[in-house]
Amino acid sequence: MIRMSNLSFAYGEREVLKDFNLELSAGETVMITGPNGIGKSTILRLLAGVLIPQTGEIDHGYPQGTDPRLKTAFLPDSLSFYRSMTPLEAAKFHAGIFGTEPSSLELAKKAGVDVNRHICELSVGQRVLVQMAIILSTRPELILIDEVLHSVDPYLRDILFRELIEVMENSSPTVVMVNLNYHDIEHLADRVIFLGSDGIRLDESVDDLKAKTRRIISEEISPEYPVLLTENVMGKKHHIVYPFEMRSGEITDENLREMDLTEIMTAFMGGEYGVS
Amino acid sequence: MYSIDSRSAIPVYEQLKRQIVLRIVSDRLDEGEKLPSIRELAAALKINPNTVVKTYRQLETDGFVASRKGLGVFISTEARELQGDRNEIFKELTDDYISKAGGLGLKADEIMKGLSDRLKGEIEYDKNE
Repeated sequence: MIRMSNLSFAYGEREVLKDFNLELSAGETVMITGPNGIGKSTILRLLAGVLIPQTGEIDHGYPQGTDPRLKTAFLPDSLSFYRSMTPLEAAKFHAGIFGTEPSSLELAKKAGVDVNRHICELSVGQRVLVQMAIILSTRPELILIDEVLHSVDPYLRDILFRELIEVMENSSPTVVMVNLNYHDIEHLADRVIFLGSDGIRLDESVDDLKAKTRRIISEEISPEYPVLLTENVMGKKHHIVYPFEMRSGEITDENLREMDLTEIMTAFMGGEYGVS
Repeated sequence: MYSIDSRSAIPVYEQLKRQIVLRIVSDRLDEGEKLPSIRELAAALKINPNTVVKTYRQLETDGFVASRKGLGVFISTEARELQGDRNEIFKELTDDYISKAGGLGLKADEIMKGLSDRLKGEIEYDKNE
């Protein structure tokens, strides 16, 4: 169990997190999402130990004296990772810090990477795979992936997810991903956290979220329904309702639709921007 | 191959379970046949390995499969009355059909006639072959 308690963090004058609390269970896969600039990446950096909170603390739940950074695999959104080294050099260097065997770079080789070329000369997608191959080789208990996967082409992304799933199956790490693109990870995440301007707006298991969100197609809707967002779709009014509960008589299956994660998150996002 | 409907509010483990049960009762999975490994299935469907674990565990509890340590999960239905499961699925299919036909504004006798006409057609078609 990882516990983030009363965290505050500001970049200079700009306060990003204030009195932030979050608990992560061991082995769960969590997706953090929300509008740009809301502090998603900051949470990852704090968890990774790359940033230190100004107030509050993070308890990773390890025995006293353990450096949590050595149990963590962090894929940040910047691609500055060992730029001037070759993948082979970077793998050795990284393993030296973590005291583990260097990555075989199998993942990078599958992506056609020449492991003797400088990392800065590789394509963005290849760089992500090199980095992923290296950080996953240290047997992490915590895997943190920032929003970098959108820059990876579908073929390489497929390879990358297979690798991640294999690691998840092998050693059940806790996984936290920051995402703005939900399609790929829709069925990987156990839990979704939506960060709004007032902090955590939603914290639900994916199964519960899908069970409790519906699109209602209807001109009129009873004010008892908690509407996230109303859209006009081809001349019809669509109300996205969460949490949804069937009330007798008012709504039939005819004008009720189940939704995928992209649609649900888009509605939360729209609600956050005050669109309705 | 199994597939997951992202737009369904039915949890992934449940979708997967229903697909496997359907294959068992329709003899597309034979007694003793091995199910894909957790890793294989999770990677192929891009789903959380824990979800596959949950599906397999429930199938075992319900008496459709047996897991053998270190070997994998195998179809094992001795404890199960498959005819009952088959009837249950057939009933759901029929309910779905009736509800869709009803949605076209058809009455019970019209639905019956339409069904029996189609079935007759099928039988004649079979004979001609």
